[in-house]
Amino acid sequence: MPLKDILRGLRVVWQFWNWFWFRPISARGVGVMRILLGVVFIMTTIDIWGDLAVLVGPDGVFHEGSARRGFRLSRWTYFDHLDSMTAVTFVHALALVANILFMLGFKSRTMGIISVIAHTALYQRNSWFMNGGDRLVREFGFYICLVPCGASLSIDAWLKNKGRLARGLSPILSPKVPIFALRVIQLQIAFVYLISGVEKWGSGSWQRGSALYYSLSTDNYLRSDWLVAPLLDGRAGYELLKIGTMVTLYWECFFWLLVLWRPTRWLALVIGVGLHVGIHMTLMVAFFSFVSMWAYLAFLPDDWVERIEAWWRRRKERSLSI
Amino acid sequence: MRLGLYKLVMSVFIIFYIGTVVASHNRKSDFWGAYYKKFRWMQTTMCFWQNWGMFAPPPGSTSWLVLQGKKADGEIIDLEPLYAPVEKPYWRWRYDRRQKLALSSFQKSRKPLRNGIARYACHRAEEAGTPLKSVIMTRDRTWAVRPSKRWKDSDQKGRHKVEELGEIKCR
Repeated sequence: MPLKDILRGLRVVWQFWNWFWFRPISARGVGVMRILLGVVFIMTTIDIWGDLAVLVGPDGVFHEGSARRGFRLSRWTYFDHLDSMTAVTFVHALALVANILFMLGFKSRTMGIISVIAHTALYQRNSWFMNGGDRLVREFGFYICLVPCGASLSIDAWLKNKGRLARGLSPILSPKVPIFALRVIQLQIAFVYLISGVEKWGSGSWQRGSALYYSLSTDNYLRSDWLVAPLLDGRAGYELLKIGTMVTLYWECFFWLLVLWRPTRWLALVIGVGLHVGIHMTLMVAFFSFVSMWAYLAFLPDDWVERIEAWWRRRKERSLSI
Repeated sequence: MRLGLYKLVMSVFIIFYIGTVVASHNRKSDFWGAYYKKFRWMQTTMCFWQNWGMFAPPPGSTSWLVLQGKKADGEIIDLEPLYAPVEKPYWRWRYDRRQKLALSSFQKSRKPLRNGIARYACHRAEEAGTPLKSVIMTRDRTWAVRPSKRWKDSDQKGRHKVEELGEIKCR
């Protein structure tokens, strides 16, 4: 094959790679996602506050020696070097400040990375009180910091435009960021569902359709016994749960395929919202449902915030003209 | 220039990161096993694990961790549990992380966690003026009843078993 053709082929590959990972998109959607993820970080930090002494404190269940024996792979955490509850509380309060600043968009990426590090430090000290939802929060926090997530709807953006005005330059009204973080988030959530679906596929109760019945029969995870009683106590409820089990199984296995095409993408996301709202209403899974639905924002059109704003403006103008 | 460097760094990162994700699920293969050994730091450093077998299989039973203390004279006393069993009817607002901790301790391989919980119970008892010789941990487990049985009688109780997890000495 002539060198010219090889180079042309490589150029086409690079163009696709560049479009897929680095295409510039409106920063407003990423800004909204940063704010919402910041809220989840804040909720997690506050949620753990009450049990800090037991979970990661110097005299808690997992003191340094136990923690070291409990992990086989590399671990690091500043909690191993804090020998009083005052110090532990102070450091946790600093993490909360970083979470708030990340949400507000002040030094957004630095605060985002600090929030992820603080979250990981908790996990590295005692992983057993955290669940898959916490891990998703950490991963998504890292991914969104791979692009300038404070380019819009942030203190950073406000300060930048103020500086530009002071220098006699026009403010940046529609900042753009690479799509990179959104792509990683899309791949991550599709992978979560695929792996979860494949694992469930091999489970008898998922194949028989009884998985949701058994999931809702345990007091360990249940939000309310009386809320789900109508579903568990009769045949009609069981048939509904059977349908729910099958929808969950197939939807998880084929989510990645459904989101590839726009019409089925909406279907996949709507089913996902329904399932996660259902999970959150009936089961205690911390922030898993919140953060999973947060990831769906990465599948929306790049300019979804602008579209909502335009729709809102049109609605307002119409109501004024009437 | 800056954008070009960003694209290069991110391209290299994403190739190796996705490679590590694939490798973490194919550790038995010669190539991916060796790859994972070399690049697993991409997951271990920040705990970006990629195992997502959530509720597969579903729980199927309710378990409570029961803690008892053995005093120097051999007397056995009940200790405050990490998370007390819920009383019906209930509605819970908040995900309780102490309960997650207790549920995590039931797996056989998690002896360091059980040791940690026992150590914490010893420390609390000592602070309360009741020094202990050891802590006895048991799992109180009730299985869910089969659907057809529940339709006949919604108050029917499932199989119940109390399983000893071990006696851990206080240091």
